[in-house]
Amino acid sequence: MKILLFIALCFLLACQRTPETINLSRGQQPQKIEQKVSISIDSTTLSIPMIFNLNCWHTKDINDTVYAFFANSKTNEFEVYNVEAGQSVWGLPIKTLFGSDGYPGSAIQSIEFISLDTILLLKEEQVILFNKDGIFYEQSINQETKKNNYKEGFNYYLVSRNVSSKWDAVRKGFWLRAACYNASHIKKPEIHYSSAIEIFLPADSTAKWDTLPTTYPPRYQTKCNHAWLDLPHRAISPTSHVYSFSAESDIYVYDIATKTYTSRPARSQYDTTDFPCLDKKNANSDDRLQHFNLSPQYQDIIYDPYRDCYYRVFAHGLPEKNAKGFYNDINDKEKSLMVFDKDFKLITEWKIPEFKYILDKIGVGKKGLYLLSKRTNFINSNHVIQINIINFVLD
Amino acid sequence: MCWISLLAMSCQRETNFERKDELYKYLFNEQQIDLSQKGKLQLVVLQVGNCGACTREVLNLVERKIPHFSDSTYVLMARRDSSIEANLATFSKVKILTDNSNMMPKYGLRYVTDYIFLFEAGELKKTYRLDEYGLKNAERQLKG
Repeated sequence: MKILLFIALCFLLACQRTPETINLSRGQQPQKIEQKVSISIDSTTLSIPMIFNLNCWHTKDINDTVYAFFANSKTNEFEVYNVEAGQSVWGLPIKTLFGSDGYPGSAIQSIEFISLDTILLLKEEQVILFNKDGIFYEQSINQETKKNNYKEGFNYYLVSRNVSSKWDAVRKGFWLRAACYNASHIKKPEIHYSSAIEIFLPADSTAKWDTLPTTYPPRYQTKCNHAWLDLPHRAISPTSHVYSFSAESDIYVYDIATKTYTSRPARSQYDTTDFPCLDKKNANSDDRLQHFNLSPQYQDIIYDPYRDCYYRVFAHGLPEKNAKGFYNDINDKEKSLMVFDKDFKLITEWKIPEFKYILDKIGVGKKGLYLLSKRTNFINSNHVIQINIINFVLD
Repeated sequence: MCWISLLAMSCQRETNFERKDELYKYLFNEQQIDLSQKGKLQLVVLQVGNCGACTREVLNLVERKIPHFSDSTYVLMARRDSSIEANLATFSKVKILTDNSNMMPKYGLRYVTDYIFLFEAGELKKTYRLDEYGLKNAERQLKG
């Protein structure tokens, strides 16, 4: 009988979840500047019907003119558009890059202007440069080099959700961000998340890769499962590479001159709750999605060369259900935009009014910050696109 | 020994669908389908538009299995997709439902994984989560 009870107890213990009791500090709020700030908003409208996917959207100010790049699902072309003149500049049939059945959405990590004539396209393990005549450069990640450069178990992919790749003219290659896959088999996050997240990909595929000494913050190297909130965002200024991590309130700065990597307090005033670790054992992709949808998260960070400042997006946390008893999802998240000066002092934090703008694809131009208006069914719907030009003015 | 078996069973991974009630409510309120009034029914839920969902593997499996389903077969698509609709339209028994008002997330039913649900007399009898492992399971257990 004692043996049976012992076996039963073993079963019982095996059944129990082991809740995480990790106290991970959410960091400090940043120092604020003294001046008052006002916000001015101007809008312009583009008659672009039906774009495929926001991953294929990018705006850039080139010689004081703002251009938009997008995948037009009506004409099945990639198009470069002069936003202010409302004119198409050049186009390329999507099938040139993706074949006749190609859908350019999910396969693409990002697309961005290098110049008016040249577009950089990132897939998870491939870099492509193309112009109106088609692809003129492509390089896939060399598996052998990947193995030699990274610690065992580091499954990474290239990411570039906003303007963030950097062409190094001296060394002839691209600096690109990488991110870890939060795979279920990760047993040692302290090793997995200590790998470099900035990769130098030489144009010459036989040349050696390089990395910066930039890694995930310490909180990722704990037993707390951050699930899908492990995307590093990055902005590049003339002096530094600045990183923002989804679950970390501090921002991390790599100083190009001193080659040092340090953190700065940058917590949002709306970041008021503890970060929830995903403590469900055997969590599947749907559990990760729920965790991702409800958790507070820091999103993009963007450098503005015209005003020498940084913008950081914070998506507020949500309860599982709303007051009506319906489930909340990622589209219900309120967002705020933090504006920092060059020394990472907070200029202002602007709570986005009533889900009015899309903050996934922010453009920067001489006239201000370019935000798309939020509309239901933005993708594949037949309507015009409204671009709003935002300015933060110091009084 | 019986007690140990019960404990062992309680350790098994949940095979039922944890948002079963929400699924019933969604079908009743948003698609006007009263499961209690139905006999044998199959429901395929395709999370069109979500990364990792609605892959070619899933669609191949669904298209292979549908001919062996009963006449009451519904395919619920989270978003419209004309090419998937065109393929499913070749099966006369399939009724296509689309979440036009985007209410699936409000009922907690927006996932990154597709599902097949088998109902009998209004009761959920079997759930197949069509991820890497669930696909193999569905392949083995469903006819076709």
